[in-house]
This record gives sequence, structure tokens and C-alpha cells, in this order.
Amino acid sequence: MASYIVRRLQQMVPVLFLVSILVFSIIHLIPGDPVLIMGGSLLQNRPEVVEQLRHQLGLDQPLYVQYLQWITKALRGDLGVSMWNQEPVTKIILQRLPATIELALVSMLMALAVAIPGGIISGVRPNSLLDRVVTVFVTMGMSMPGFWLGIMLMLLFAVRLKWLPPVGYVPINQEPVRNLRYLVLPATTLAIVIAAPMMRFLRSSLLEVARMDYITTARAKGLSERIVIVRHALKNALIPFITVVGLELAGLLAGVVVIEWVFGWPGMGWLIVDTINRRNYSLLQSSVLLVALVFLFMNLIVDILYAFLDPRIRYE
Amino acid sequence: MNADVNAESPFEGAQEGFKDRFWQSQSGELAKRIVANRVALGAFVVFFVIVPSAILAPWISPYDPYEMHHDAMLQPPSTRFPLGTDELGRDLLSRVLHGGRVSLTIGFAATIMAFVLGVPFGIISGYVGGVVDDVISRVSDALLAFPPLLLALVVVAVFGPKEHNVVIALGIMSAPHVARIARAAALVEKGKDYILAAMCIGASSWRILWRHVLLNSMAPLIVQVSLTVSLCILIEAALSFLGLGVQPPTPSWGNLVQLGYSFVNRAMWYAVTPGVAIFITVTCINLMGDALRDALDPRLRGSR
Repeated sequence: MASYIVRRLQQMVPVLFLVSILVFSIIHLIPGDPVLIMGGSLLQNRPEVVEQLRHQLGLDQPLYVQYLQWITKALRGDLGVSMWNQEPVTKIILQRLPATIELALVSMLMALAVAIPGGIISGVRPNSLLDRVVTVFVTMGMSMPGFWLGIMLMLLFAVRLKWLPPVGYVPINQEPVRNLRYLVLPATTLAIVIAAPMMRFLRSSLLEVARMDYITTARAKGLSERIVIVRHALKNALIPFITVVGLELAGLLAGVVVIEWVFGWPGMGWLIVDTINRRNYSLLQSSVLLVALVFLFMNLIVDILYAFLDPRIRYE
Repeated sequence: MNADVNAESPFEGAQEGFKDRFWQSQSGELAKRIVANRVALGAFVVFFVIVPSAILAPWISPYDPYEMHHDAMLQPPSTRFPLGTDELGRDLLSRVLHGGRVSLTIGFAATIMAFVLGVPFGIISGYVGGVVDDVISRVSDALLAFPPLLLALVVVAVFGPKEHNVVIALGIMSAPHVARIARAAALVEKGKDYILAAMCIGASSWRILWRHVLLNSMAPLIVQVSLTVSLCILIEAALSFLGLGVQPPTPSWGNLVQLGYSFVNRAMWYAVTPGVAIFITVTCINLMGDALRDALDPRLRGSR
């Protein structure tokens, strides 16, 4: 087990390096002079200020030196300052993170509450009426654009029925009840979007397991169907399912851009779109790096968990 | 099988036409399975209604999608404007049709790019192995470290929200998944005996790669096509919805939903309709992909 973890970590190192290079290139790939881009119209006719800024930001140094400076600062937790208002990037990100985490966790719980029973019923009794209902739900859920589903739900519950507020956010520590009211629509939308692939995966996982010889053996031993399903089929089918859950959670924690945008939910995803629109490239660089790292590490954790649960993986 | 008992000579009536040979071939088996699956058939039919409508949009649209009718702004669906009008009096049916043209073109172009990039790298990575495999896999992992939409967002943010940049962004986003599938398939083929046999009779590596490995890896790749197209269409819609994809006034299904979103209180139909178009199209593609996957699954072959 330990050797597997070490191997995976070794594989990660070059990937981390490449990711940091990719993110670093963001500002430097943009056509035009980075200083002018960052400074904007304020620097139009002041070449001496441009030069001073360039020197101050270290942009007059060769690229690899700039990269090294940036990466060493980032490793120490100093992600620079936002071009817009000179606030430290770390502070801005920490402000946005709770909203994303809250949305991610609640959506995942809702999705699991639906996906696990649905997937099990569907997988254990394929081609039954319930299975067909689940399959329709899965197909629809996977084909719908998330933002459109969000708008539809908003139209129904906020505009027509006026049961819930359409957009907005209040931090949970300030007004918990209002926070939850704002949370319902985006969380439901997200839950539907991620529940669909999870249900389908659990279903196909169960169907595959059902064909295994050990299931036949279990039945031949005379075990009740319930025990066969729960103790043998489900336990094994849940392993790959857990990896899918982990991957979806990784995506959620990385900040679901579109849903946050539709509902005005100020999390990491919303932050990224906002910084792109405002051309706040230093903030963009750091937030993209953070998001990519979160995603990467979540994937790593999922892989390790899978290896832990399924010993066969460790020896590949 | 097709012996004509009234034929003059014993050889005449026993000709097998192209049709007979087709239905007995591998593609014919595939076609038989698809036809038998009515849902897939329905999806196929609807898809082949949607795609030509999108392609022929300039000829079948009732109005010019940019023409503004100042007497009919934000009108609900009527006989004059079957899907209503937008805030500038433009006919929504025409805009949705043209938007389909844009969205589908981008989706397919991005898929082509993803495969042009992903398949060669994937197959070479899987077949050659060693350092080449390591390097290509690390680069692929680095790209996969970003959630899909984020990667496309960043590429578009850097290079500007033009249509060809969207295609490039989506292509880059999808290529690693394609490369992974191609690599896995190549690894499977590599272990098979016929490759060894080909090497023994002196076939060059290129020939082996092209003729044997690639051709026999097609099945999972074909299924991946449908997954990639649907993902690209959905992400293009998301990008355009965020204002970072196709820019107005050029219609795209995504930016039509965005514009409709700002009028969601007054003009429900505006936001709903392009979304329905996306939904139906992607559903059809997914259903066809499922049918293809079931049909191509070797484990089920011969069990019917």
C-alpha cells in the first residue's frame, strides 16, 4: 500500500510541474505587453511608470527567473495581490471558499441520497419499471445543460411560484435560515446534474458484478437474495462507484462555474469568471492554480482510496 | 439464400447482391442491432432531422436572424413568429436554427480536433511505451488536472472569445480523454498474437500501427466520438452562456440562453427554447452513443 502511494506521488511530481508551467503561461501567452494589460488605461502616456512597474513586478527578467520567483512565493503561500484592489489573493480566495464548500457538500449529499437508492434498485432489477424510470432520469440528467436546468428550476420555483428567492447569498454564520433558502435551488440543480452519471455508474457496476462467478457461488450456497446483494454484490460494486463519487466531488470543490454564476452564488467558480471578465490576471493565475491543485489532489486521494479498497489495483 | 427457383441456369439466381453481403457483414450486424433498438433508432432519426436543419438554416429560416422587427419586440410565440421574438425584435426560430448551425459546427470541429490530436498521441504512447509513453501520459495528466470547463475557460480567456478559439479550447480539453482511450486500446492490441506475427514477417512499425493497431482500436474510439461531441456541445453552450464563447449578435444556443436569462421574468420562451434544442440534440447523441456501445460490446456478440 505504501509503495503504491509513493509511486503515485512520484508520478504526480512532473504533473505538478507541468500544471504550474501551464498556469504561469496564462499571463504571458496573452497577446500584448503584460504590464499594459495589468495597468490598463492608467499607463497610456507614462512610459517611465510602465518601466518602473515592469521592474517592480520583475517582468524585465528572463522568463524562467520569473517563473521561479512566482513558484517559490506560491509554495510559501504568497499568491500575490489582486491587480484590481491590491488585496492579497489568498485573502480573496479564502473569502470565496466557504460558499463553494457549502454548495459542494450539500449538493453531494442530496445527490447521494438519490443516486444510491436509485442505482441499487436499477441495478438489482434491470428492465423493471423502476429501472426504466431511472434510466430516463439518467439520460435526461446527462443531456441537460446545467445552467439551463438551473434557469428552469429558477423559473418554476422563484419566478412563477415565488417559493424561493432566485439569486443571492448570505454567509451561513450570519443568517443560517436565509442562507439555506438561497442554497436550495443551486444545490438541487447541481444534485440532479451529478446524480445522473453516478446512478448510471452504480447501475452498470452492479450489472457487471452480478455476472461474476462468486455471485453464483453465493446463491448456490443458499444465501438469501438480500445477503447476496448486500454482502457480496453491493460491496464490490460500490468500490468503483466511490471513485466516481470522489471525482464528482473533486469537480464540485473546484467550483462549479456555471451554476454559481446563474444563481449569483459567490464561490470559487464565480470568482474565476468574474476575474476573467475584469481582466484581473494575477488573481486569475492564482485561483486557477489553486483550483487545479485541489482537483489534482482530490483525484490522487480517490486513486489511493480505490487502491485501499480494492487490493488488486495495488499490484498493477 | 437468394436462389431464384425460376432461373434459367443454376448460377443465375444465386447471385448475392450488395444488400445481402451488407447484412451479413460486421457493419451489417451493427446496423441490425441499431435498428432493433427502437429508442436508438428514434434518436438516430431525430438527430438526422436536427443536423440538416442546422446546416440548411440559412435556407429554411423564415427570417434573417439579424433582422429586427421594431413592431414586435419580446413577443410570445405566434403564427407570425413561431418561437417568439427577442428584445430587438429578431425572430427566435431563425436565431435558434442559426445558433444550431454555429453550436453544432463548433461541437463537431472541436471533436475532430480532439481526435486528430488525441488518437495519434494515444496510440503511439500505448504501442511504443517506455519514455515516450511516460512523457505523453504526464502531459495528458497535466491537462486532465483541470476541470473541463475551467480549461476551456482559461484558453478562451487568454486568446479571446472568438469562435475558432472556442474550437481550439474544446479540442484541447477533450484530447486527453481521447488519448487515454486510444492508449488503452493500443495496449490491448499490442499484447495480441497477430501483432507479433506481423512483426515476424517483417512488417514495418508504421504499417503495424496504421493497419492493425489503429483499425482494431476503432470500437471504443467510435463510442468516444459520441461522448466527445455531446461534451463539446454542452461546454460550448456553457462558455457562450458565460459570455466567453460565441459573442452576440452571432447566435449560438448558449448565448441565446444567456440573453433569455436576462428576460426570464417577462419572456419565458426566450430562455427555454434554445435550451430545449441543446437538450434534445445532446440526448440524441447520447442515446446513439449508448446504442453503439451496446452493439459494439464484444461480450454481447453472438448471444442473440
